[in-house]
Amino acid sequence: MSKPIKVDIWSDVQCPWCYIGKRKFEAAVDAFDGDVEVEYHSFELAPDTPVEYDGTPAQYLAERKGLPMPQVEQMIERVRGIASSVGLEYDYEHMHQTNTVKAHELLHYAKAHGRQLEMKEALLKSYFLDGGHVGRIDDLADLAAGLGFDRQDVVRALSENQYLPAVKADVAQATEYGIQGVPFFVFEGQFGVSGAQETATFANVLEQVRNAKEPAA
Amino acid sequence: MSDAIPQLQILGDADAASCDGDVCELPEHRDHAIMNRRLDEDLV
Repeated sequence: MSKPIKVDIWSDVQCPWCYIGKRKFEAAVDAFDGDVEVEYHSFELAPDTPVEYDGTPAQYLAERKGLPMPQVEQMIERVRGIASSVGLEYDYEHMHQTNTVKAHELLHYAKAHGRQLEMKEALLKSYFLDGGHVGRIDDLADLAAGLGFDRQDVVRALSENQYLPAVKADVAQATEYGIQGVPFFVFEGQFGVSGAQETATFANVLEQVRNAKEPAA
Repeated sequence: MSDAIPQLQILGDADAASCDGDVCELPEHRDHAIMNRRLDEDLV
């Protein structure tokens, strides 16, 4: 029996293409007739963002980049349309722009408990679909408790920055790979794929990687 | 993951949409590709 294909994915919780790319990648994995093992890694797109930002992503982008609001809204509408095409109804009116480092720490906490994939989906869903706040410790602890984690222990781990070194190690590894944007997929530690590729592209990559791993006799 | 970071062989569409910094734009060429596909479909 062949070993699963290992895929390491660098991603941020507030990255719209990461959620879209996740869905497209998952569709390719579902159709693939082999085993795939996924591990998520932390990437902070805007680490200087305050936890408490009183505004929507559109307002944030307009303020930060000085882009005219109509242009920002047009960009968001395009992303929203593509998200919808993969079954994700992004609710930009209720998103809370924030700092994601604690969300990344929570992902490492969940990984330590063998439930990282479940937490990744929950965090993305909370931010993009449910209007959840993914920057505050209390909100993150509530989310984790909803998944059955020990709320008190989550608060402790996040308050003590227990997994901050793991987050920083992921970011450092991304830098070494030369990763500048996310999502970024590393297959078997050898093949890199950048961005929210089409499902067919991910499917082709999985075949290519399998063939590279197990050349035909 | 290993401590040694090998150079990656890049696969897939090099222009796929991604977030770089806090900007998550759709590459312009993708709009054109979608528009061209719609035009093709209309012709069909």
